[in-house]
Amino acid sequence: METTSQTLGFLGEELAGHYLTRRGYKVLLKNYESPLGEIDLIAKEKGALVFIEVKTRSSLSAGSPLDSVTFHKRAQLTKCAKYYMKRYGIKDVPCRFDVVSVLIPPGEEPRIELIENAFCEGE
Amino acid sequence: MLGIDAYSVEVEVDIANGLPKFNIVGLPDTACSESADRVSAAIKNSGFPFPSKKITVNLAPADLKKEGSAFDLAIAIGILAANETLGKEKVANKVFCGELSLDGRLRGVSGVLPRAVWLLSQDPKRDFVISHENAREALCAKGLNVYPAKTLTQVVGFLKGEENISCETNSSHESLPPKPYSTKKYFDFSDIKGQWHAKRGLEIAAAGQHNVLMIGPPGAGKTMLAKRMPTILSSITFEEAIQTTKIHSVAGLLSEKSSLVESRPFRDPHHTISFAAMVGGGSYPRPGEVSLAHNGVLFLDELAEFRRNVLEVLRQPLEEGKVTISRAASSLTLPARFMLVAAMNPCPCGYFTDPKKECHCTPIQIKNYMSKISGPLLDRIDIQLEVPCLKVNEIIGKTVGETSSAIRERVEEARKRQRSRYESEKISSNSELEPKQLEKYCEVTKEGEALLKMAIQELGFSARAYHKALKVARTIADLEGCENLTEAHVSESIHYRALDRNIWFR
Repeated sequence: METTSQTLGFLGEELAGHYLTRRGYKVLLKNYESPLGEIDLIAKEKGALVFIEVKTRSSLSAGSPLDSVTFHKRAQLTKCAKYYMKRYGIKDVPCRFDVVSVLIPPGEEPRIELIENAFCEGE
Repeated sequence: MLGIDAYSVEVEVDIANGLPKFNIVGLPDTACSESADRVSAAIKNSGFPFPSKKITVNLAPADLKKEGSAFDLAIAIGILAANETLGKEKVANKVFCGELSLDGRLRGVSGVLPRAVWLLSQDPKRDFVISHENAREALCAKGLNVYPAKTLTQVVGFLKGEENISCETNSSHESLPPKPYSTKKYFDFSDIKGQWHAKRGLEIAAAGQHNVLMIGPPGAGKTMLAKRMPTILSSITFEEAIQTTKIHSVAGLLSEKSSLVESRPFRDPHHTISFAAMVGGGSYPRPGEVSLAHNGVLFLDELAEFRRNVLEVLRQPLEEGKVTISRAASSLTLPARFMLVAAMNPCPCGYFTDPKKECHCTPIQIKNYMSKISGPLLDRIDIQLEVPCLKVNEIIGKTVGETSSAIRERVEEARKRQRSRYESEKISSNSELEPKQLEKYCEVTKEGEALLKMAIQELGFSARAYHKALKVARTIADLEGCENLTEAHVSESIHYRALDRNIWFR
C-alpha cells in the first residue's frame, strides 16, 4: 500500500491517541476544527487541559517532526486554544501545549515521543 | 541601580491558570526580560517543579526602568514561593541579588557594593543573599548580614532551613590597611633623572590635590613623570575607597579578588576618547573616566590632541567635583573629584621650547595648537610646569633621585595636616578651599602679600588665578609644616603659574 501524506498523518494521529490513552490522558476531541485552524487532539490529564499537536514523518530526511512546529504553527495553536476555551466558556483551568512526534519509517516499528509543556504562549 | 545609588525593587509574582506564559512587567530592559528564560531553565535544572501556568512578574516600582540580570535570583525565589515549593514566610524580609546561569549556579553582578551600602542605610537588619562571587565586595559594607551562595539549590535549602550558609558580617573592615599604589612595582620616581623642578611640582600637586599641566618637548619625561604619579599619592581613606568602589562597581570594573579599590585610581584615557566616555553617558547613564578617577588621578597625555568638546566638558567636574549627566531616560549627578594631570608639547612639532633643536612651526600653527586648550580650562589648572629637555650630564650622570616612598611620606604628612585642619569643613584638601575659607586658613605675611599684589598687577592674575596661587602656597607651607604663608611659599606658587606669565605665547 502506498502511504500518502494524508494517510500518514491520519495514522500518526491514531497512534498518538492510543499512546496518550496508555499514558493516562483522556482524549476529549480529535481534529477540533475552529475558524482559526485545527487542533489535532484535545485531552485531559490530571485536571489539566492539554492541547496536543501531532507531527508525523516517515523519515528524518526533512528534519525531526518537532522542528516543523514553527513559530507560526505555535501562534496558530495558541489562537485556536483560546478560541476553544472562549467558545465553551472554560476558565481558570490549568492548560498546556504538548507535542507528539511520530516517526514511522517504512517497514519498521513506529517511534513515538511526547513533549509535555512544549511551549508557552508567545514563544 | 540609578547612577551609583541603589533603590529597592519589590518582585511580585502571580501564578494563574490559563495558557502557559511567562511575562515580566515593570519596564524591564532586554537583559531583564531575558531573565524569564534563565529563571525557568535554572529552576527546572535545579530539580524544582516549574509551573506550566500563566506567570506574571511585576518589578515594582513599575515606572522606573529596570536593567541588568540582577533580578534573576529574586524572580526565581518569587516563583518558587508562589508555587508553594517554599514557604512564603521564609522569604520575607530578605533581599536577593544575583544572576542565574541555566544550570542553577549563581553568578555575580556589577554594582553590589552600592546596593549593600544602600541596604545598610535603609534596613540593616535584613539579610542580603548574593552570589559568592560578590561576597567580598558586599562585605565592604560594615555590619550587614551577607549570605553568599553558590547555587539556587543552596539558596532554597538555606531558606527552608535545611542547609546552612554561613552568615558573614563584617565588623572590622574599618581598619582595612590602605595600600599605596603597588601594581607596577618597577615604577619609581628615582628612575627619573634631573627634572627636579617638575618632581617638586608633582609633589606639591599630590600633597594638595592640585591639577597639574606639564609642558615640554618630546622625550623630556612628561609621560614618565605622570606614570609615576600614583606612587607618591597619599593612601586612600576608607570613606574615599567606598565612594570610588561604588563607582567602579557600577561600571563593572571590580573583579572577585579586588573587591575594594584599595589605592587611588589612576585613569589614563587615550586622546581619541569621546565626550560620553569622558564624563559618562548612555541612555542609562554610566560613569565616565572623570568619575572613575574620583579620589584619584586623571592623566591626559597629549592634552592638545583631545577633542575640544571633550576638554570643555571637564570644566564642571574640575570646579565642583561632580558631574551632572542629563539624558532622556534620567538625569543624575555622579561624583568626580579627581586630580587632573595633563601633559602636552608646546607646539605641533614639539621643539618650541627646546634650546637645541629648531622648531619649524609657524607662529600661526603654534597659536592654533595652544588655542585648543581654552583659557577657562587653563585657569583651572593650579600648577603649570615646564619640563625642559635634559642636559647631557643629567642623562649620563649616575645621580639617583629621591625614591617614591620618601616623597610619599612627605605627601602623607601634608595631607594629614590638611585633614585635621579641615575636619569641620567637609573638605579634605587645599584644592577644595572656597574663597571664604581661603581667608580663614591662608594667612599671608606682609612680604608675601606685597608679592601677591605685584603678581595681580604685573602678571595679570585673574581672581581665580590669585585664589589658586594662594591654595598652592598653602600646600607648600603644609609640606614644610608652617602655619603661615611666607614670601618664599608665595613666590614659589606664583612661579608655578607659568602660562599666566605669558612666557611662550599670546
